Amino acid sequence: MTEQILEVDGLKKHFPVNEGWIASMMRAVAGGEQDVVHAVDGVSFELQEGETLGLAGESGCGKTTTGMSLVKLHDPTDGEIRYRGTSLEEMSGEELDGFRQNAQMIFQDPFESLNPRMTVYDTIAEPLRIHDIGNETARVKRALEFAELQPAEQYFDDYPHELSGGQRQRLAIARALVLDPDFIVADEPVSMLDVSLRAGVLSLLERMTDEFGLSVVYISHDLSLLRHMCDRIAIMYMGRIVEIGDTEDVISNPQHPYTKSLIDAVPVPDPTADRDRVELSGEVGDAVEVPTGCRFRGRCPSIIPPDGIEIDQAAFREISSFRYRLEDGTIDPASIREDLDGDRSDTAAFKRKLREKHFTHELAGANEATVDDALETLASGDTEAALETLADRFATVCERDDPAAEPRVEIPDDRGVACHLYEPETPAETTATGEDAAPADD
Amino acid sequence: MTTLLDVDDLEVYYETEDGPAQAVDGVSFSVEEGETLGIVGESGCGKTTLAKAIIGILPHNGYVNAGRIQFRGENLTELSDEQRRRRKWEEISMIPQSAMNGLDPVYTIREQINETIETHRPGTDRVESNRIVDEMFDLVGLDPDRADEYPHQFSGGMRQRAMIAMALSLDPSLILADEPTTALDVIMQDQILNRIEGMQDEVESSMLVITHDVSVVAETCDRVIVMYAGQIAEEGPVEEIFGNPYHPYTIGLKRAFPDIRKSNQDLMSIAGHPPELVDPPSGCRFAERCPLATEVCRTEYPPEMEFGELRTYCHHADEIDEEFRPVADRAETWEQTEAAEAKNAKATEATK
Repeated sequence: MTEQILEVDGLKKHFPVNEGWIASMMRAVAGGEQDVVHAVDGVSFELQEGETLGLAGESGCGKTTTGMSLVKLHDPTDGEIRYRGTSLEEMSGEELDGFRQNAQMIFQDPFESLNPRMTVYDTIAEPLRIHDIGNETARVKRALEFAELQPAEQYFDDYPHELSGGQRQRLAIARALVLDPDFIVADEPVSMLDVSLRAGVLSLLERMTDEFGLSVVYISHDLSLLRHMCDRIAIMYMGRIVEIGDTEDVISNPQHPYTKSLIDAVPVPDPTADRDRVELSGEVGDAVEVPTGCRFRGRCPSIIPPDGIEIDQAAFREISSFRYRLEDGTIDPASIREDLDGDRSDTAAFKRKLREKHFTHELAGANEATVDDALETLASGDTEAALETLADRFATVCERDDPAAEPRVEIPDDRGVACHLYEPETPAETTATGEDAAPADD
Repeated sequence: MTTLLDVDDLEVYYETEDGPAQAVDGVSFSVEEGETLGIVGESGCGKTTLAKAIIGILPHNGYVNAGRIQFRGENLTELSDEQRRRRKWEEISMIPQSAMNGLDPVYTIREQINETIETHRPGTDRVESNRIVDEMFDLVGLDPDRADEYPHQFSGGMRQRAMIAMALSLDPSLILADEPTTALDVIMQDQILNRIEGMQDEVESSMLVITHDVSVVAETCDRVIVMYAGQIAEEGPVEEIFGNPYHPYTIGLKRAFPDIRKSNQDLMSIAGHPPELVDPPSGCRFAERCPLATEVCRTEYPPEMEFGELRTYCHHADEIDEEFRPVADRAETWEQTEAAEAKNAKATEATK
């Protein structure tokens, strides 16, 4: 077994929300905590020597924040990152210097990440000077040549603006490599480059991994690219990893409903292909007031109805989505009442209006009775009670328990999936609230 | 089918300090009624310039040097500014690049679309324009109730849809979509592409989709033009362009894109860079990066070759099937270009 380079354990990074001075004074007087954005909120994984791991997800899912924490550009709010067994937080002095040499980052935009006033030579020599490493010229030359900026001497005195986008990214790669690091975080390394140049930079990155035995964390929203580059892949959603495993397994046989939707949404360069489309409802949720339980539940196409309730998936999603939106105030009963033509106390009209808009699926039996009861209560003005009525019958495990990305019983390979659809291999304690283990019906 | 737009030998130049940059140079194509045409190419190939020339919003240093843009038989380049302005949005509308930033933050979406409608159709009453807004919101998959919100209350994808709704509001015959999904996440991109496909069935407008992303073209277009350095490299039905292209650049571009359905594919990079457009090479503009290039490529403009419904501009197109296709998948094919050799030669000289 190869050695473990990095171990990330329950990493959290929260950022305070900007607030005006009045709000901050009010808070100082009244007490209460400042709102925070839960950019990364409990992420755990390991990186082995020579391994390439992809972090994927939509913008705002926390992939870049995770990447920056790995090279200690952010200090975690909570949780721990261990480099070869030592926690980054405890490092100082020489140990930290050593880590800084061994952990490098390649940024997305080669137009922004290079100092325009430094020549190519100085750009690459600077890290050597900082870390007091000799034999400067030879090392700079070797790094440039490796990055296929050949012959190196010709580039020494060029400034970044004299280079093309592809050459600049090669320069950024050379700079990252000159200290002979252990691992590199590459944040969207080719997304700013033109298509015909991308493959060249990608093959350089591949060569870098092979020849130096480097471990690399690739951050990208482009799953096609990650499939091409990575041994393992982690899919992130709202600051959490929802699925992690071998790239081939995850992409060809995704298990988490979010991973499935994400992969289905990738367009393919083939006009004859007929791909399945699952349109996700809604938007990525609020990273300040994070939802309880599974963070994907508001958009999930496979949300789990409570035991003993017989209901069509689409109808159940409609009810759940109505509940969540009523809860967070997106659905405002008062304004619906105002919109009623004629009598505002007309309960029947109020209910009809809500049904028309939010309940397009046929309901029957106890489901219908509960919804009707709740709407009646809502019409009387008691939103709380209406929500309670609905929750009593329709509250799901997906909103109660927080699923952890861990191996699941029905999933064959070595993979972590954070979804209640699958029974965890190690039951009980893993659920965040400590309640009973999740039911495994689908 | 009747021809809606006919572009003939169009030249669009930009005035620069070093002389005119030939951003679009001798481009001819047509768009039929109800057709979706894709224009694909890398940055600087002239695709956005082409769209701006068609709708008439070239920046102040850009001008049409020669050629015609015929829209319903009328040469747009000869119209007065006022006449062109009338056709904007009513006849030809545009979903611009990063359209999500194109909305005015201090007006609600409804006010902005109403204004568009009422400016172009004076006398439209508010009830009617409100109805159009609702209808357009429905069409792009937005809740009409939310039309009364301000842009900042919308997510990026929703703003993009609102922009599409606005572009559709006057029922134009031609819609230019410039990188309609580039700034969006995969899931949002998928939804917008889905809407665009849905629109194609519901409205009769023709579309011109401009993008660098070959997958977007593959999913939305009937026909495709591949542009390189201001000129058309290849044109044809989407199945042909993706299935059996004849231009070495198209072949290279297609292989530069990873496909999520494939594992372990080799990606090709095309060595070198596109030429300067201020003083472009007189022959084929791709010659410097082309693995097949010979002397004639550097001196003579390539002839138009036809392969079924494909139009290809390449001196060596008839050698593609037998000689090039078998080696096109090998990385070394693309590395051994003229440019690389020239550079090496220069280098050896310098070290001496």
